[in-house]
Amino acid sequence: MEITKELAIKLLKQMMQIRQFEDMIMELLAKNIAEGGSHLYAGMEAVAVGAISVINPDDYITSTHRGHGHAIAKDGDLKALMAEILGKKTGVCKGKGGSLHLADLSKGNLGANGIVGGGIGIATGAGLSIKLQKQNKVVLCFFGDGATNNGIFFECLNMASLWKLPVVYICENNKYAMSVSVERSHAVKDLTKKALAFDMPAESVDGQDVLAVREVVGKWVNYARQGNGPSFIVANTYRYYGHSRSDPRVYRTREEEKFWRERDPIIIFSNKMKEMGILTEEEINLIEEEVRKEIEEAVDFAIKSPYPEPEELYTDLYV
Amino acid sequence: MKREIIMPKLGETMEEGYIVSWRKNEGDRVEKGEILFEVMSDKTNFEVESPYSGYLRKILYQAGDQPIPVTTVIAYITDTPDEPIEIEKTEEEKKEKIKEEFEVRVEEKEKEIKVEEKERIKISPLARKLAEEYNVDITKIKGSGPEGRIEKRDILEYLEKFKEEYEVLKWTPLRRIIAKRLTESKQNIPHYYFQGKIIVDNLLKIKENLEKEGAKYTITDFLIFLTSRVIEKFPLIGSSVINDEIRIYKNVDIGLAISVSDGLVVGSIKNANKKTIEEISEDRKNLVEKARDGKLTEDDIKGTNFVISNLGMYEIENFYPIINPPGVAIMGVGKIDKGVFVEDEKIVVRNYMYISFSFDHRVIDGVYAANFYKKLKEVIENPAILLFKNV
Amino acid sequence: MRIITYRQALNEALDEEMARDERVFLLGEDIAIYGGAYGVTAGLWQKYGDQRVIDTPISENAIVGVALGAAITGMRPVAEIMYIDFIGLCMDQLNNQVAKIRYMFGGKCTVPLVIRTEGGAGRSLGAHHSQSLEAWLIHIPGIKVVMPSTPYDAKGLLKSAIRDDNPVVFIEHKMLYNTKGEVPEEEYLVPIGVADIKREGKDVTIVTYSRMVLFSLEAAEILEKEGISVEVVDLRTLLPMDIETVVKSVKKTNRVVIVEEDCKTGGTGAEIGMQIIENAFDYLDAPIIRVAGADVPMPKSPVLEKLAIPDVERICKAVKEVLK
Repeated sequence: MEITKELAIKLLKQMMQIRQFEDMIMELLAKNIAEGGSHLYAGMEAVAVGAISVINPDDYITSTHRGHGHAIAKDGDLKALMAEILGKKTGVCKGKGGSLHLADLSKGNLGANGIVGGGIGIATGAGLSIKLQKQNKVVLCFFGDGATNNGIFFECLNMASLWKLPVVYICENNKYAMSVSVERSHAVKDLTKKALAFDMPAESVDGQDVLAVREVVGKWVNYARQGNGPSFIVANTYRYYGHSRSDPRVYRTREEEKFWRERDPIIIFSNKMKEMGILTEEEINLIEEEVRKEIEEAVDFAIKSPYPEPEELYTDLYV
Repeated sequence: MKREIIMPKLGETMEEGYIVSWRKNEGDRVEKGEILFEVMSDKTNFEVESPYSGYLRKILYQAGDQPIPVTTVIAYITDTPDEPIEIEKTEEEKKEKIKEEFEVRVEEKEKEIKVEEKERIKISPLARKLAEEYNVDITKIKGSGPEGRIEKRDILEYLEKFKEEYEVLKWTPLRRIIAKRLTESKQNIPHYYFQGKIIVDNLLKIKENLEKEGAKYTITDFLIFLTSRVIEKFPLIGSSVINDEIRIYKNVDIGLAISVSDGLVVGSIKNANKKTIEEISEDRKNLVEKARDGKLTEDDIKGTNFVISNLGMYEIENFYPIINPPGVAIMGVGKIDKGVFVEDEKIVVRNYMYISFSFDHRVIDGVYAANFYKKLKEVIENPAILLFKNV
Repeated sequence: MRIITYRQALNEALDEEMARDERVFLLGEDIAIYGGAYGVTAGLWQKYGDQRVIDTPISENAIVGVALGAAITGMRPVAEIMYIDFIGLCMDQLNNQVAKIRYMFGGKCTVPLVIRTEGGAGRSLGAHHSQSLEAWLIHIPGIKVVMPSTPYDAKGLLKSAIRDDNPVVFIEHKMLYNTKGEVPEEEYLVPIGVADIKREGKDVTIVTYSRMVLFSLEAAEILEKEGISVEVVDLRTLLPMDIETVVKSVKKTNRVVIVEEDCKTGGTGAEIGMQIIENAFDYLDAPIIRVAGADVPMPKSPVLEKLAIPDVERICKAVKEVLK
């Protein structure tokens, strides 16, 4: 697959935005500036960035409880996202959604979800909607390995395959559903086999390689756009932080963590770009510095933003 | 540069943590990402990585049983092993204060709880509201509802019982006027009163003689005749107070209180002092008839400053009427009775009547009134005097 | 006026709204070729085709989830959950997604979605096909819950529900489908959230909804002959509840009987009663009485089933009790 400098900068920058965004949130949580739950996407950046980079702005995505990465990759505004996570009025959902419910329908992001598998129904419905309205859009439906054991996964993939809906189901297999590993919770270890039940095409991809993700997702997006129906992709990846901040990560070894840290998507991509002569070390450092400023500005904006007024409690419930 | 190491908040529910162990000693070199200490939270144990590279310059909280609130500074990391640092105080003081406040609050709460409990009367919310509205004492009511609950019907029944003892009369316009005028009179006019016994043997004789000749006049007719002639000489008695003026009239009109079906009206005998007894009697009859038919004209009720109110025919001995504003005096006439009098050291029996007066002290002083009475008594007891003497 | 059944009235509402707005489509189990388990969608598949009347697999959670996805991306789905007993299978989507999505997203989407279902006992179908679960639903802010009792209300309310930009759970009653009533030929709407006084009276207010309206009206008829004047308030919409109309009636009669088919404990009547106390306490002259379903799974035996839900006799008894 060909890669322009412009694209390389975009991919690298988005991955760095996600990484620094998540590191920053970890810091804000520890300092008790950010409250509530949070599930961080650090380590998995190549999946969201690679997959979303091959769809159009008006295509849809549904996200997961670990949704900051998808929101940023789907052209999310860093300030509005950070403010949302701090529960501020200026947040993308006016401070009513938070980390688990980042959504921006104007950008085709149909929302993160606090329920595992919660987005699969919405994504499938959006697929049906596209088909009924004879639009040329597709839906990327992200979920984790844990969600593939959930009832709605089976109900929806069956329907999507039956009705040939333009949905690409992307399973981010980061090896653990909270603390329980795929080995300890799935009868079928190769998750792509689950698609066999629906006669749906399926493929695995290295989720740490943004270009590989682009290639595979791109292929199935085209397949969907041409009216052939849904597909199932398993992206193998790893989350650096625990499931949430209150996770001591006792279920996995530090060696395993080290192994994956060495397969860091940002480092892999940076090195490749340097090797291919598309980006220089200086350019990469410059991008990183630029992102650092953006994140600082986003945090500054979020912290200085006001909380919602008390009157906001009852607004936005009914039309 | 000095950097703070804090007790991290490692979960939504974590308020404080315990340091299980320090993995580095004071003075040790630490790299970012290296495990610095172990924390036990409400959920589990964590190994906490150092967020900075540097030297573990000072440990503020040793590993142990002491709970440390999240975000408390527990150690400092410095860039060099020997730079000076200022150490902040621990949380002990704050805790002591919180403990004291808590104890005070507990005491207050205990006080609140010690409230007496009264015996409860079962009553529906609606009945309770009605009882309050009509000021009904619910302890006096026996409820008819289940388990003796007082209900709306019980309150209404109770109110109904009271209703049976009286009938509510509607105010007629006339009664409203009477009530208003007399209340104002009694409240605004400084009344004073007196009464006198007047012997009426001569008067009765005259009355009798005239009757024999077919001219029938009432005591009231005679009193109007005689009083008007005395007032002619005591004009203040017939005066009025209007708009803060004392008005003295050229004519002597006498007001007469006439009882009608729904109250009392006052009609006027005009220029009574110039009229014969026959004219006065005629005027009086007309007036009474008109009053009872409700046909008094405006003119009929004008000129009623001095009023004569005669209740003698009702066996009343004596009473003090209320002044009829804007007038300043009123005369009450009681029944004629026989009484024992001492005359020239002899006991005699005479016919007499009580005549009483109410005066407005703003206009009429006691002596003036007494002189008026003295003259009136003289002419009533001896009407013939008028033939020869100018009162 | 024209007399039609509750079923026909609902069918007309769907037909008219599908003709009026091409974004409206139906999805659910056995609604296309079969015409719906209770025949409400009969003839619509033949008229509108596969794209607008969609038979789904038996996947209740997905039906609601998919309907939601379609609703927030430009369509106006009307999903059918065959029996309200199956709502447990889609409660996650309904409660966690449908009801909350607009609020969670700070008002940045609308959810024009209707979930039609039916409930109630009376056909001796046993515990999995006879429940009244509306109390579960009124506990979910973000949705509306409608339960019509007459053909007229059924049609007018369903049309309003389809045009509403909020999610509406529309609960029909299996024993009402064959009941008949006046329904005008010309188009009309019945507003959501407005109760209806089905019978005026002055001694006691009965607050009720769905099939129990019919029972209550029957009871009122009997009681009138004994000199008791009963007012019957049909809530029609349980969420949002038109408590104003109820309070107005309570201020007049001072006595309340609530008639509900669902289980008494934690039931809809508890909410109605509490709202009356909050809004009209000073007008109550007796404790509120509930005539409610028994706190048991619905038994199969027709004899026991009858005992498990209110009947006219029990309603009459309760009215007399509240007048004691």
